[in-house]
Amino acid sequence: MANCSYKFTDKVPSHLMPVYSKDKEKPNFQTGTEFQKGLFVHGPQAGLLTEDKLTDPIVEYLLEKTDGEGNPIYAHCFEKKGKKDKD
Amino acid sequence: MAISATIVDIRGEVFPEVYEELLFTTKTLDKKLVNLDDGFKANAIFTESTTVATMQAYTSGVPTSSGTLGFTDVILTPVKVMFYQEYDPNSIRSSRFNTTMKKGAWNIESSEFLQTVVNSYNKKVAYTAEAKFWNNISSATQTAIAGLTPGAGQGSVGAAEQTYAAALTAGQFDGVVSYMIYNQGALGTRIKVAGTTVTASNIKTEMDKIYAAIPAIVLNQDSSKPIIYVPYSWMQFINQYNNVATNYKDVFVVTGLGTKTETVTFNGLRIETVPLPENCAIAAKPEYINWLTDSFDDVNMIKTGPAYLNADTQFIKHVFTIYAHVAKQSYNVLYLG
Repeated sequence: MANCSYKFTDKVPSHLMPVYSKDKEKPNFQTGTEFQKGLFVHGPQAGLLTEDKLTDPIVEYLLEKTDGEGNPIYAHCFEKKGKKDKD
Repeated sequence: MAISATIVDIRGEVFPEVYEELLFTTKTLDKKLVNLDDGFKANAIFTESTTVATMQAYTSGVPTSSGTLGFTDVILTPVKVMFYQEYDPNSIRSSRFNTTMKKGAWNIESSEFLQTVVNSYNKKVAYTAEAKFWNNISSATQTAIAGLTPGAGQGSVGAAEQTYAAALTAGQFDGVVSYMIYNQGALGTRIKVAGTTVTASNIKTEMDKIYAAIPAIVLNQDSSKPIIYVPYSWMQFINQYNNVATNYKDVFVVTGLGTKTETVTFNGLRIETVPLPENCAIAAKPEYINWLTDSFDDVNMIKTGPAYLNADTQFIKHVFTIYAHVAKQSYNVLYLG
């Protein structure tokens, strides 16, 4: 996210998600659950897009994404970072 | 401990049925929707041939060799994974399941618990394996895709593809979609179709894009036709689209609607629902999508027993190997929106 000019707004929902071990020997060992803010862009089966995964091309793609009838889906989910966010 | 239960101490009548969680059937395996390659312990070699035949003018003298007899090998090793849980059967001693525990304080194993709750867990293991087969990503591939510059052209990763890869939780191997996006250290040579949000209104338009992108050479094979793999939600869109009275005809041919033998075709190609991400579809000959494993029996094989010699704790364990491989990538269409 360090290279992304955007951040999530307060309107992005939180979801209860599994938390996995950081241990490289057990990379998919679930250690618990926690609420994480993010978007299921391609459905729950394809994972949660969290703020740390955002890049400018991804956000620009999502800002243009519509619901199939021309209405933007994610326009309310992103805002440009201020100077304070970038520091 | 693995048992998470809201227990009512047994008294009075017990309704005989235990309502199980609803799961999608593992159609990829059950209907053999892809090439199921078992018997691979490690180091499976896949070979793709590409030849060039060049016609040239006849000469009665020494001819000049022209053309190519080419092939490419890849070597793949299925990844070994496991599911493991421990549970304490004593914690269900006061529940309905005690009616199937044998007499005596030592006996706390319930046959009904094994047949219902544990059996339901087994089904979930099989479904998880199928979902990972289509949707997984390794951390190396995830990092590589994130590092690409997205663009609209065939030679660039799509912004939708990059978004999909970024959102996945990294696992032990690449699933089919990830494999099509990034393969053997480079951008995949899949036929990329930029998609949109698919609804009941635009599903015909979007399916037309997928169909049009399938190479004619693939459609004109007598041996086998491509399957269009779609996410589960599209079946509702298909039936809703067909049910619009003002449409001239049913665009999607559905036979046996609502029955176990229901089949759906679009322009003569089978449509099959699998655990793909939303707004994603793949059109490929089934023999090009390979599920590699040591033995398919492993997915359904469960081992249970005492976890420790001096405790009543029981374990449930599944171990199997799995790997996804997509061959002949340039013949396969990946639609992602």
